[in-house]
Amino acid sequence: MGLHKKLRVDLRRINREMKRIVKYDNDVPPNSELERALLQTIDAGGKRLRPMLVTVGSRFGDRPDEHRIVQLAAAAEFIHTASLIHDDLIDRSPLRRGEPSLHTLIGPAKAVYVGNYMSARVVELLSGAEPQPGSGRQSFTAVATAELCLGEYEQLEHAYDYELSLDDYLLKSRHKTAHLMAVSLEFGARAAGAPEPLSRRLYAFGEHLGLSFQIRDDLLDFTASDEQLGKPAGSDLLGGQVTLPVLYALEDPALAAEIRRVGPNTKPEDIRPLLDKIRASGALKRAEAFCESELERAREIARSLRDYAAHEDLLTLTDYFGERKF
Amino acid sequence: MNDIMIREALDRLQGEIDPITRIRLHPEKAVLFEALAVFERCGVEKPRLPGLLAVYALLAEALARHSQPLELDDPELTRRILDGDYLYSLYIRYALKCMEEPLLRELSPFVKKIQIARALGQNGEPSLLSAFEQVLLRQKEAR
Repeated sequence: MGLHKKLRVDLRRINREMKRIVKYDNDVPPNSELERALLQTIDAGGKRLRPMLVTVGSRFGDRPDEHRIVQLAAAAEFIHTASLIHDDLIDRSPLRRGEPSLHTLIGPAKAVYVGNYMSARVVELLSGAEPQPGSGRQSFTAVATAELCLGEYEQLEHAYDYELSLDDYLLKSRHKTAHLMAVSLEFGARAAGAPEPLSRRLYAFGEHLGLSFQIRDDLLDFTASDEQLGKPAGSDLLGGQVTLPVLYALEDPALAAEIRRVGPNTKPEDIRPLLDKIRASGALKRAEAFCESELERAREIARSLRDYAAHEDLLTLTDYFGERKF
Repeated sequence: MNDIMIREALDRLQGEIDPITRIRLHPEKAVLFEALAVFERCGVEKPRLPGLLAVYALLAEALARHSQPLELDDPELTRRILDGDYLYSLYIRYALKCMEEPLLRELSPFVKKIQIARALGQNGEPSLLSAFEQVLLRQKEAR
């Protein structure tokens, strides 16, 4: 059974809302290249994890406005999708989930502006409608996007940096992946009127969940097939991303010497034997254990919220993230 | 006087930018003087001016980083995309910090229309300063 069914989230409604946000925008000419690109991007699908997290977060509040939650869920996916469009350009990646990426189809400039439109449309929709917690004013778009960018800057800064520390790796992963998941839960809860300490607790849950998600992604670079990944296995290593399995493998002097030879000019076929050696080392098991410890910390938070029926949904999320194969 | 205000606004802004981004803001002074003149003409109170100027400078810089041409073989493409995205998010955050939420809300359709014009390859995208002027005049009339 799919995660959305386990969580009782109507993904068709969220997809409809995403399309509605585009089609009901009078400023986007009907049948224009922009509208087609946006609808095509929405139709390309995805796991829709962030909308699910917004929905689950909202179940911790006592005054959920269903339409507003669906709108916020769609907005979270818009922000995520916009960041993927720009990421593909930054990585010069011609494929996304095995299909041509947007910039391959419509060119880099137009792809940048499609992503920008999605961010701008979210600000237009949400500004004025977002709840303001006690002291600080926050915007979902700003809170989410700034950290995503910082994660990208950190990734660029540390490309092929085999001296990267575990703390730097964790910081980059929090910014790049965990933060948007965490704020999706937090803002969902806040939009439904959940008290601020509870919203912050859900943020902490989402941060552990998101970190486990990133580590699982790192592991899949070694364990999944090219077909499952939609890109060649070992792409992260080849692209200079020093992931958690690589960090652990670097502790083995013999492996470290080989890993340090991987650079911007290394060819995919050159790293195949190295990938096998990393697979055969204990690095993947140690990364798996770290991933599980993050999930356990998320479970602890979920169990501490057992007074809320929706805590079961949090546990469903940890189960799903623990079993994810690709 | 305006020169000091511009310097203060830029210094304050630079302090908001995370050092890892290595972004340095160097907007043209003449553009900021023009913006200040427009804001003053719209009756913006003195204490509000530095924050408003900083918000304008951030959005203008964000839009400039994503202006054409954007080509895959440009070695600066990655930085331009990232810097533009980061400055745009900072524009929103800083506008809220300066209690400029109504401005942010009223500007949002203009910002979106600029992106639409760019995506459609249309010439003559809406002028950012004109957008600020329209919003500020509306705010003045509403007071």
